[in-house]
Amino acid sequence: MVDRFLDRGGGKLPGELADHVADCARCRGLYGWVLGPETPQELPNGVSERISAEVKKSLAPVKPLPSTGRLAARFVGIFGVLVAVLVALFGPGGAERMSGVQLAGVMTLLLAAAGLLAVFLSWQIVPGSLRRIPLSWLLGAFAAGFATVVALLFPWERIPEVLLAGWVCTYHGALIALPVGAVTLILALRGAPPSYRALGATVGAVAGLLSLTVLQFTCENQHAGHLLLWHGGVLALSLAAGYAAGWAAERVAARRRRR
Amino acid sequence: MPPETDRYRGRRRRSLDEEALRQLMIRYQQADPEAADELIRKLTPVLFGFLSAPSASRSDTEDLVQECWLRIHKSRHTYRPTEPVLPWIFAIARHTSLDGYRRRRRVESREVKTERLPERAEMPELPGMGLKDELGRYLNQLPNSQREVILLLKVTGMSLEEVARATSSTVGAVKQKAHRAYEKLRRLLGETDGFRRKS
Repeated sequence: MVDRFLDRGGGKLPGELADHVADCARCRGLYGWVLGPETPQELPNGVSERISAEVKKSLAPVKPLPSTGRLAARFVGIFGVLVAVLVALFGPGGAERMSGVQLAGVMTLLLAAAGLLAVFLSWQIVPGSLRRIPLSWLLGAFAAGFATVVALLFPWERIPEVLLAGWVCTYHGALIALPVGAVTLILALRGAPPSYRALGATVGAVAGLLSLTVLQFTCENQHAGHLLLWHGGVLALSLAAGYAAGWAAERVAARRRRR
Repeated sequence: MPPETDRYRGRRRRSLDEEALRQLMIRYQQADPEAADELIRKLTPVLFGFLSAPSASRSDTEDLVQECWLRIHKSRHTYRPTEPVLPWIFAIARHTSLDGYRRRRRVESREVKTERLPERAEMPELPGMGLKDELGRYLNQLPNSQREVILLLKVTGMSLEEVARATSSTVGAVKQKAHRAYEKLRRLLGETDGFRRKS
């Protein structure tokens, strides 16, 4: 109960709780310490002046980034244009094989995922953004949604054919994901993402999702097992590769700072 | 109600005025050198407190504070005037702190391989040591994620939502970390009380 008051930053304690805090040395000590004033840190001489001098060397006007909504809309717009161009390039063989229901189900899912990932990327490139959901939940929900939509709406085939005939799609998907990931990264670095690992995972997810979307509309094999394993596999690989690239970038940056 | 309960009426006071900081940030983005000086003067002590680590020297902390300010300066275009300033500042400070911690760990692991270092002595409990010093010492025994949440709540007076922004987390996760930290601090305080009674 005392902790809830600490969460709220203090306030007048109700009768019984106030009596407990008055009697309990631990709660009294903790309550007073957390809410009490903080003694300002004594700084080494000249620290603020040195920092000011350094900052003023490159002080120039800057334009603040647009709002999360506008940033996300830009990302989704670029995503849509890239999908349209690539589908036009490879031919809409997959779209032609899908029924109206399958098309509606898949498009709803992919558009929702693209929109949410765009919002997440916008949060990530601005320090201090309020994240209402973790990335892992978003990706988990998409994976569950994709598996459900595909399993229910698309026909199943015999297992050996799934295993033999699909690796080409993953290969092509990876080839699409690489440049898309690079473009996404360039756009994201216009912000100030605090963590390279988290950014890498998000960029990997965006690139993987775009590849999966292109494959869905261009690949003529629309059997459920093939879609789940080989098309879904592109997203998983891209996510892992993005995270690994972010981790490597962090190590390189740390070594540079040591010098 | 006992008279002591009057003490438990106060709210945690923010050490920094959010509106004043917001105006300074806007002017800083417009390249006003006086606004830059004022921001640095106001925020550096709080950043120093947040970036001080148990195993780091004061000069290490000063380096981290300088690094943090360079990152803040480089990212100043990402601050939006409609958003609170402190979560933005401390999100950057937090990652500076994490990078500093990883660097120290790598350096320390290399040093241990070549020479066996004596065990670091536990800071002795001195007679007359105030509760504040004791709690400050116990803070260092918390896991990093809990310690940073408590530091942010206490040092800056930010709300749970603002701490969630600064730590790239959700309000629920911050609350959970804070409550676990309070539990552990209470346990540590209780152990000390028991030890004192025995001796």
